[in-house]
Amino acid sequence: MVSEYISDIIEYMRKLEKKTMPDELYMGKQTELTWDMRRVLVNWIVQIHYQLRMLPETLFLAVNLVDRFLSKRQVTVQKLQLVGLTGLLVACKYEEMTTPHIQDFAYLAGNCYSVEEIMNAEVFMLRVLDFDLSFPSPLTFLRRVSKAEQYNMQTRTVAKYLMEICLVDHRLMSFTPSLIAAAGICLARRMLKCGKWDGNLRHYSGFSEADLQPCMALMLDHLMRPMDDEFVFKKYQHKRYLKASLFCREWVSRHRHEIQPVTPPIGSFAVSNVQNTSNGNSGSI
Amino acid sequence: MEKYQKIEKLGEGTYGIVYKAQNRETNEVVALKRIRLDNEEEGVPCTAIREISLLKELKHPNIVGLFDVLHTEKKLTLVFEFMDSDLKKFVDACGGDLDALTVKHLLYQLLCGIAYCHRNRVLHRDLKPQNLLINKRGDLKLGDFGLARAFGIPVRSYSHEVVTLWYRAPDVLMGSRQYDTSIDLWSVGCIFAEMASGRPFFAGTSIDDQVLHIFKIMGTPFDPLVAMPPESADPEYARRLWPGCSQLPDWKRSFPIYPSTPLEPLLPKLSSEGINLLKRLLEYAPEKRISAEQALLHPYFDELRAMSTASNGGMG
Repeated sequence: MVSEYISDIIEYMRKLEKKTMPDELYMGKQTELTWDMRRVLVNWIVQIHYQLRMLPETLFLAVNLVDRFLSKRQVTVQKLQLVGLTGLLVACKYEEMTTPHIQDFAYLAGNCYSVEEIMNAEVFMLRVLDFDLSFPSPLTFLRRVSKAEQYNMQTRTVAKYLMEICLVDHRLMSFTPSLIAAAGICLARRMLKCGKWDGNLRHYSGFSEADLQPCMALMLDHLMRPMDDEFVFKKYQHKRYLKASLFCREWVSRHRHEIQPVTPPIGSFAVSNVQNTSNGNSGSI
Repeated sequence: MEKYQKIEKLGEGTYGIVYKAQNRETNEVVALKRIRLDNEEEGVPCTAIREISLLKELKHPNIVGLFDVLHTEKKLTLVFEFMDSDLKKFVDACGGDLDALTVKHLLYQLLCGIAYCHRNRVLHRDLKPQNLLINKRGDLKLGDFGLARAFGIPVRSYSHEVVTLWYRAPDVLMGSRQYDTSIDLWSVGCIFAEMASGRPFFAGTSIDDQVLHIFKIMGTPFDPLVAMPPESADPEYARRLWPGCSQLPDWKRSFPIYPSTPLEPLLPKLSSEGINLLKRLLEYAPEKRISAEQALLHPYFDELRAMSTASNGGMG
């Protein structure tokens, strides 16, 4: 039985997550790209991932591969979407039972890249990342924390939404998957009035509430922005996701006055400010 | 590729040709697995992606070492530690007659490798004698991780098209997709019996036939939640209780009901402890099946522990 190995596995995955973190300042090294372009790219990946009905693990792995690749190689604007497409293709081959044809991937990117280009990009990405696909998704840690609250469906769904926000907002890139999962549950519990972050939750997540504060502050900060063009927001309006994104937006508007703004200020997401944010992204309250 | 001098072709792997070769500088003998990319329309095969990624993580004396991945124009070459043979060839070469101590040594190493995989959240999913590599020193190492995968906790559902028929767990044969580490332990049980008898233990020709082969030896399982126990004279009565089995997708009410067959006459080479361990590996209910970690502590291996204390050396 797996249960016997859980503590070994969790310990191992805490090692893996440190090994597979992207460089949160990589945009400083890119000459043509901006954080806003990355936001648009991730938004597109989330959309394609949803259309192809892939597993949630695939999405987290794909974005991790893209960020780790961009941490190591300079990419032109024309090739950025190819990087996103390739990240999704590789993640898919690793996680899914079946992978769509490369031809279909090419079509999804408006046939901007040929099948051969995608195949070359695949080998190139695998080599740059040294074939290391061991990134543990926050979902694995989420299931563990969720156990401490009897797998409560509501908090779990809201937490999943908050975790996916972290994909889109580059300022959350510096947090490890285990912390993101814990912060997701912690903030979801606060919003749903589920009670304190007790010893049990601390034990299963490995974090105190204070550890999670900076991450939760950024999640809230993100929720206060206009999000209508964000696909994660649309996706989580669905009944299947218990309308989690609408719930969060409503909660945030009711509690707007209590939420502390995070520095750098809200404007940092606009294109004009992109350059400034590349070194001030691990904000705290 | 120039770094290695090919010596001979060893065979065809899951996704390419395997060669024996020698490192020109160090003279080290290695196995090269070549993956051609030019006549592929789908890029790097997913089996290769998983195998490389997982073997780069897993470093253990009972898991085949992946030394390097070379990329040249239109092909990838995986450089593996060279192993002389595999368990199937080894058993055949011995005419199916391995001595009892060798069986014990090999099984111990197999379990060490599996326990390490499971602790590192990897399911092998395709354990069979052909995938267990053996060298002249008698080391056994798990190879071919093309079907392996990392699992989450709890393990989510995967495809049931895994594991060669003869080594496939009954829950998977009957359509369960919620399998976990226990599927590898069923395969270990089948391999254990095969080493002890010299031939495959449950050699079915189709999924249905495979199920019947298992039932004929282990007795038809029954679901205590649904049916009354058919007969209680069977000494393996308790092992045939499998709560929930009638809920599996491919469970059939029409399954013939067989009593269990005593294992001792089938496997005269095994001690009573060996038989006991085998029964724990071939438990029907996945949650009752022994884990690799527990199996290593089984009294069957006391003899090896006594030997290693006597010689002050390591085990396996």
